[in-house]
Amino acid sequence: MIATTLLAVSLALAPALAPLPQSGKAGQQQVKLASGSWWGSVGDRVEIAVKEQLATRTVTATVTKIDLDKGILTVETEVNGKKVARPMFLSSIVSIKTLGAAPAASGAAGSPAAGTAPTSGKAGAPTAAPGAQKPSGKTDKEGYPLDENGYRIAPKKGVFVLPWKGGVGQTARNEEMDLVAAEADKWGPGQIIVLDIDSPGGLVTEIFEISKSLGEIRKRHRVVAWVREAISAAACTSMHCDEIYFRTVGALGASTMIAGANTVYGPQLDAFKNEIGAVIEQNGRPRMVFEAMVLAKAILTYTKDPVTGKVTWHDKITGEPGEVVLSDAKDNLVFKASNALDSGFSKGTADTEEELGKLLGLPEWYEVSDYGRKIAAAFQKLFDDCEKDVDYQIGRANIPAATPVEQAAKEIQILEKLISWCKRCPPCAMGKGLDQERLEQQLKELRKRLADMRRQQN
Amino acid sequence: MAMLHLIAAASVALALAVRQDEPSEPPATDPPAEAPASEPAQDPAGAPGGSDLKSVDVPAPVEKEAPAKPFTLGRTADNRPGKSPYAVDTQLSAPPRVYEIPLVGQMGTDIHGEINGKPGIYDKVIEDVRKQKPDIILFRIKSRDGRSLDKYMDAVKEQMKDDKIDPRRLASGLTEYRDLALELHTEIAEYPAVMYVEDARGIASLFALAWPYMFMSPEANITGLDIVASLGGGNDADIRAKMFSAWTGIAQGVLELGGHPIPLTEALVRPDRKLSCSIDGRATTWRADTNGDWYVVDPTDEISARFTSKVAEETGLTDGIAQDTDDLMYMLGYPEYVKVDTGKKIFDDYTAAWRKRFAETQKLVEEYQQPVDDPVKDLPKRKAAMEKVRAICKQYPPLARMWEWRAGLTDAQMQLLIENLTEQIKQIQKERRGNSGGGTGGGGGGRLGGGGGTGPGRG
Repeated sequence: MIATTLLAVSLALAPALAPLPQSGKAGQQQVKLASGSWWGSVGDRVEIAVKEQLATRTVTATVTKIDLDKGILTVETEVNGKKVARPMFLSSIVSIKTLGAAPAASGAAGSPAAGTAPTSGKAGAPTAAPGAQKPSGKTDKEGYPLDENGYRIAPKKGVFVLPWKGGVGQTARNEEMDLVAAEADKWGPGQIIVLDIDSPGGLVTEIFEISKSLGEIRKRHRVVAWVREAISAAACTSMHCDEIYFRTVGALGASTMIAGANTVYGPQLDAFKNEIGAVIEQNGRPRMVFEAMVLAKAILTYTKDPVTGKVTWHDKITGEPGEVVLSDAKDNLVFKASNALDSGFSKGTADTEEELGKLLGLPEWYEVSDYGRKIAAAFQKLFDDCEKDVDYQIGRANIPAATPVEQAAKEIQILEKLISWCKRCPPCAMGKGLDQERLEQQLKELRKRLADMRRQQN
Repeated sequence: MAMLHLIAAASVALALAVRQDEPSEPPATDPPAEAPASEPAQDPAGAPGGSDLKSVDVPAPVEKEAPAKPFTLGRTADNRPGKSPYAVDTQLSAPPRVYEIPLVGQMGTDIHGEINGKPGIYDKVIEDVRKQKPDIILFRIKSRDGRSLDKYMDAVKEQMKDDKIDPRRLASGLTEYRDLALELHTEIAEYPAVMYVEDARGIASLFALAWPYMFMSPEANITGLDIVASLGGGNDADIRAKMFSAWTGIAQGVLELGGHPIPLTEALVRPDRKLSCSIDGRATTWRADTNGDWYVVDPTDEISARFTSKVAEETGLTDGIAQDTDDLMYMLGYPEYVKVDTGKKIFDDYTAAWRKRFAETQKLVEEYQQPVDDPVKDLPKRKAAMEKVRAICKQYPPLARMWEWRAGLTDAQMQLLIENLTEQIKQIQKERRGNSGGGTGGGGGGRLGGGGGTGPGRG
C-alpha cells in the first residue's frame, strides 16, 4: 500500500525531478527535496523524515545511493536487527539531517560515521538499536550496563508503554508523558513510546500542554498512539503522535470544544482550531480531518485511487464513484478501526501487544521498562482514592455531632483532609471544586472558633 | 494426512447433504476481464514497488486457482475474522469438546466486566477455558429487558416510569461491555468461537453481533440498539453531534469485532440511517439506503435496524437458524460433540449466589427502613442491617451495582449512613448516661440513597 502510494506520488512529480547539478564540494551532491534541499554524499549517516500516507516517519540510516535521474535516494537502515536497503522517492522526503559525514572515500555502503553523537533527533544515537550499542563495561547505579555514550543497553529492541486512561487533565496528563520520556532517555534517543489511549476526553486547555510535551518528546523518540477510545481531547492527543494504531473496537474523534455545557465558538475556538490544527497538519495529517471532528457542519469524505490506493480527502461530498462519507453536516467525525485503516488514518489494527509489536517492526513484544505502567497505575489509584474520600468527607460534614465543640473538631479534621487532597492530587481536587486557598482560610477561622469555644467552656 | 482430511471432510459433507436447503457454491469461474490486477506485493522494507513505469506494463502473473474447499452448509468462512468453527475448517478427528460461555440475564449485573476495579466473573471463566482446553467455544446470549420489539424506544420511555432500571442505565456501561467483548476475543483467541443468539434486545445486541460466526434460535431477535443513540444529549447542535457520534462510534467499534461493515453497524446503532442489502451468491452487500435489490431491512430514519431470526437468515446476517445447541453443532458439521459445562456452572453458580444474597439485602434494607419506636434498641439494629448490606455488597460487585442503580445507594453513602447512625447511638448513650431520659427522635426515618439513582428508593 505504502509502496503504491509512493509510486503514485513519484509518477506525478517525475517531470519535476530533472537531474540536479552536482556540487564540487568534497563529492557532495545537492539533493532537492519536496521542500528545500540537502547537501550530502553516499556513506553519510542521516536522519530522514519521510512522509508515509498521513504520518511523517523519521528514519536513521546510511545513504547508499543517490539517483538524481530517477529521483530516488537509497538508504540502508536496520529493521529487526537486519540491514535493509530502502529506496525513497525524493518527493516523499520532508527533511534530511546529516548526523555523521561519510568516511573520506565515499561511495560504498560502509559503516556509518561512528561516535558522532547527535545533538538531537530520533534514533540518532547508535544506542537506539540494540546490538549496535558498544558496551563500555560500566554500569549505572541501578546496575544497568551502559554503552560508550553513557546510555543504558537494552537486551533487545522494545517499547515503553504509558497507559493513558481516564479524563484528559485528570488521570490522562502530559506530566506522565514527560516522565516516561525522561525514563526512555536513559536508553538513548530513538526509543518507542506507546501511549495506550483509553480516554473520553476532558479539559481542552490541557491539550496545549500535551501538544508542547509531545512536540518535545517526538524530537527524541518515536511516539505511537494505540487507541481503544480517543474521544475529544484524547483524539487531538492521538493526532499529535508519530503513528496511530487502533484496536478493533477503537473509536477516535468528536473533538468539539466545550466550556461548561455549551460549545465554544468565536476567538477561543479559532485559536484552538488554528494552533492545534497547525500541529496536526505538521504531523502529516490533513487539517480537514481535525476540523471534521471539531464542528458538526464540517464535512469529510475520501476517495481512493483504485490502482494506487492513494487516498484523497474532500471537505465536501463530491459524488465521485467509491466516495466514502466519514462525516456529513450533522455528524462529528469519529473514526472506527475499519475506516481509519482503509483511509490510511491509522497504520494498522492490533488487539494484542504481540500484534502491535509486529506492526511496529519488533521481532517480539518487549517492554524495556515498566516505569510508565507503574506511574500510571499509581496516579490512577491516588485519583480514585481522592475522589472517593473527598465525597465521603463532604458527606461527613452533614452528619451532626453531639456538641458544637465536637462538630467544630470534626469539621477541622475534614478541612485538613480536603486540603491534603488539594496538595496530593490537584486534578481530582480541582474537579471536585475544591479551592485550597479558601479551604485554608476556612480552617484558620474554624480553629480560632474552636479555641474560643474551648476557652468559654473552661 | 491430507488424504485423511479429505476423507473426513467428504464424510461431513455427505452427512450434511441431507439438510441441504440452498444450492452449493457455484463452481469457480474465471475472473472478469475488467477485473483490476491484484495489488502488487509490498516490499518488506516499505520501498516503492518499482522504479519506473515499465513495471506497470508487465502483465500480472496468472493466479493459481485455489483448491476447492469442501462443501459446507454454512455461509462462507472466507473474509471473516477469527477462527472458523466449521468442521470443514477445524478438521478435527474426533467429536469436538464444546465449551459454553453463557451471556445470560441482565446487562451490567449478570453480564458484566470489571466493576469498580474488581474483576468480573468472566475472568474466572477464561481461566477455566485455559484449563479445559476445548476445541470450540460456544457463546450463548439470552438477554432482554422485557421491552417489546416494535416501538422499542416508546416502550422504554413508558417503562422508565415504573421501578425497573432505566435501560439507558444498562446501556451506559457501554465501554465496560466493549472491554469485556474484547477480552473474550483476545484472551481466548486461539479457540474457534461461535455465538448462539437465543434473544438479544437493547444493549445486549452488541454481544450478539460481536462474533463473526453467529446462529440464532427461531424466536430470537437482535434489536433495540437505538438505546445507544439515546445516551447523547447536550445544549446545542454541536454538543449533541459530539455526544451522539462518540457513543455510536464506540458501539460500532464493538460490532467491528464481528467483522461487520460500517453501513450495517451504523444502521444498527443510529435511528437516522436506512439499511438494505444485495446478495451475490452467499455474499451480502449492505447499503445505507433502500436501493438494495434483495432486502430492505430499515426503510425509515426513525428507528435503528432490527432483525428477527427470519430476516437475519434471509439477509445472511446469521449463519443459520438453529433450534438448540445440538442443532447448531450439527449445522457446523458435528453430528456428535462433547459438552464442557464447567464455564456454565461457574456462571450459573455465581449468578444464583449474588441474586440470593440480593434478596437477603432487600430484607435487610426493609429492616433498616422500619420506623424507630425505641431508639435505644432500634438504631443499633438499623446500623447492623446497613453494615451487613455493605459487607455483602463488597463481596458481590453486581449486587452493589444493583443497589446503586435501583436506589442510588453507593458504598460511600452506606458508609455515611452507618456513621450517621453511630453518631446518633453515641448521643443517645451519652444522654442516657447523663440521665436526661428520652431519645433523639428516631434518626430521620432511614431514607436511602442520594444522587445518582434513576430509580426511586424503595421504601
